[in-house]
Amino acid sequence: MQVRIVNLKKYFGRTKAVDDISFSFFSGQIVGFVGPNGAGKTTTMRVMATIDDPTAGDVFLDGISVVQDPEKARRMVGFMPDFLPEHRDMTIDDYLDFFARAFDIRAAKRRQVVEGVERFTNLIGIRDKFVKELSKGMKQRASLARALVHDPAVLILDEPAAGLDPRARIELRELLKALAEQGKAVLVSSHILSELAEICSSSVIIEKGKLLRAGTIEEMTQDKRHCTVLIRPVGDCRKLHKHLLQMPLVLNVKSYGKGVEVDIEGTEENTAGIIANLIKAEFKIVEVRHLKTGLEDIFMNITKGELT
Amino acid sequence: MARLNFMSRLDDLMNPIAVKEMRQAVKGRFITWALIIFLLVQLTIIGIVLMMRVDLNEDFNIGRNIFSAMLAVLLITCLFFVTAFASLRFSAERSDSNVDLFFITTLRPIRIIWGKLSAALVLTLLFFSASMPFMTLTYLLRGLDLPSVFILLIIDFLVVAAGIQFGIFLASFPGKVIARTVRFLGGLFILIVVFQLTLVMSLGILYQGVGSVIGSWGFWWLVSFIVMVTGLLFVLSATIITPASANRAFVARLYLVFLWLVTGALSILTYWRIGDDNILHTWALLMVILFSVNLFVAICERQKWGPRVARRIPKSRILRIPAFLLFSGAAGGIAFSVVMTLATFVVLFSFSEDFRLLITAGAVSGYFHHWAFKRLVLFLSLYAFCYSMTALFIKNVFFRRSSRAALAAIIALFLLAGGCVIPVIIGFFVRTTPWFEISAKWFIGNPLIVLWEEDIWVDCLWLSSIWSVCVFVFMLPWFISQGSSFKAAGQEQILGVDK
Repeated sequence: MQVRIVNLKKYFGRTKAVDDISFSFFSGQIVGFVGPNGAGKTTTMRVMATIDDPTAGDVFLDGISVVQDPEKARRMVGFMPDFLPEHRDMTIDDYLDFFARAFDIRAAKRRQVVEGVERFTNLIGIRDKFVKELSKGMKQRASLARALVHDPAVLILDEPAAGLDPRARIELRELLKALAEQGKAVLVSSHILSELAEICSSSVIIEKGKLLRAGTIEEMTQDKRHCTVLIRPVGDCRKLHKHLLQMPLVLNVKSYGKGVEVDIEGTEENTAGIIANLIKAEFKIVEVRHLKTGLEDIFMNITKGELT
Repeated sequence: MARLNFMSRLDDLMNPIAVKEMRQAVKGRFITWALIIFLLVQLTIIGIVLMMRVDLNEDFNIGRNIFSAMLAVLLITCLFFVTAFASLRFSAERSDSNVDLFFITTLRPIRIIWGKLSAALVLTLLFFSASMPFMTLTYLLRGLDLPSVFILLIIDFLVVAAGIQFGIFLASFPGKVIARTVRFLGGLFILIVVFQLTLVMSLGILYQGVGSVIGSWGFWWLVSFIVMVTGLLFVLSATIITPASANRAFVARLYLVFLWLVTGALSILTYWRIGDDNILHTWALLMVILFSVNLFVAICERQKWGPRVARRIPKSRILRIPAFLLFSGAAGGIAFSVVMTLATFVVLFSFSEDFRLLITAGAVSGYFHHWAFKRLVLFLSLYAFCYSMTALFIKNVFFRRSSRAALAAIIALFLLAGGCVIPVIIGFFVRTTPWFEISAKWFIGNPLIVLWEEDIWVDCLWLSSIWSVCVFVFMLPWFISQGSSFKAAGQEQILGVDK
């Protein structure tokens, strides 16, 4: 299964919520969809889930267009919105049974399917509870179960971890990993980037409706425009701090306990040059550590926090 | 095993929405309490009459009177409570943030509306069947016969079905709390009127005897009207909940054609049978109102075909002509309304001597109101065309970038209000006569003036004809460009098209 987003645009009047974005991902991948508030994440996801129509562009699920064949595409997509709507007088079991019926799952198989997703999402023990009475975490589980009922090949999850306690987050993370292992293509948006970094193999970063970066976390790290290095000298590091600030290519210096954290512009070549310069200047260096860049760093480096 | 298979198949055939609604109704308290209260009221009515009336043996109308009271209770329960239950639930589900029911399942809009309606009808049947023992008991108290009871219940069930469908129709519009409240109050008012009319009609049938009523043409006209209106509201509800990007006008316009054909055939048959062409003019008036409303809706439709519509446009030129009229789109919608209105006039011209006289002879002597009613058909259609097309022209010229779908209709309504009021205000200030003798010519912007003023219709005809020709000429280039762009889109166009 390949999910291809091609030149997607979604305008609301003059507001360009999504402005010509393209990326793709595959079965077994968990892709983090990251961007500041109002970046266009939910809009993109709604178009992918056939809820909204694009102004231009298309989304292809194994070649099936969500614009031209929304009915067919809908069967391939499981969408989990950022909250579960209120349903009066309805138990979890009825709720899932309704969606199983809506997706034309035959009576002979329906019970088995519903129980299967209830078991997978750990809802089986509370299936007779009314949806209205569920906690936030349970509602998210029910929402995920609803998205899984028709066994879709693509899962689109909008802020699934929002409002969850740490235990529920860990459980959700495990569920997502299990789903990816089953061969589902998962696109997940979240504000908790550390959470995403742990489960995502790839990431897509958007801001103001435009795509800023897409690729695997490794690719993004390699592609970065600066390195962060921890340098620990013998003795007082104030002199080192002062010296580093005067050097070209040094973007930022922060004192950090007995050492300094330095942001160096450019590739690792530049970092090596700066370290050589320090040794030449007779600084007694006992430790140089390259700090690994995480999704949060990448995100902070390439976004400006502007809204559309 | 075979029985199990049969049950499974039966289960598969059931509408998921209906199953869900029924489950919610059973698990909720509203219907349970409504049913208990309903039964208590029925029991109380019959109990009070049986205990308090001492002249039971002498009063030969006692059964009929109790039946009337019970019918009123039944109608109130079903027309107000069941409708409120179905439509308020539906309205709550029709929010932009609640995407559950309409978009992320494969259910088609018609199935969704049918599910809602059928669940509400099952609840109505529950109330009807609960009242049945009490109603048949009234037969023993004398004053009515069993066929009358059953036929009245069937008629009232039809009215309740129409009322529920009306409630679902109102609930199918998305909107904020204020808009919903206004719609709720408006709907409640209409349901109160429907309740009163139904009760009066039912009592009339009860007292006249059911045999004389069901033998009349008027009765069957009324039944057909209720069924057709219910069907229209059903199709419109499904159209409203269909995503805007889909070809949502298609089914609605097909139904309008069907409605026009069936009601037209019924009117012609009735006209041949009773020889009164008023039935034809009434039909034409209803159709013209319907297509005028369609005109106001059509001007709000898209002026560029989105990918979901474009991919369904036939490649054959011959098929493209009916497709242009029936597919979603402003130009097609306007053309559809105009074609159907003209077709109505052709039918009227072919069968009605009066209409032929109106068209060919112009001024006709005779009873004023007789002619005024018949002229109204012509003027309503002309004025609707003028106001709607002018509004579209203004929208296209001055508010081209606006994405507000209803803008053209809002402009049209403002124009209509302005056309009715502004000339009168001007006339008030420039008058030379007392204010109550203000000239009828100042009311020329209002098409209904032909119903009150005999001499004004020639001026109205001049105004609306010249105005129609002007807006038609102004909008002609737009029409031509719309017609020429009505072509099946390729993949490249879909990827690059801007709506």
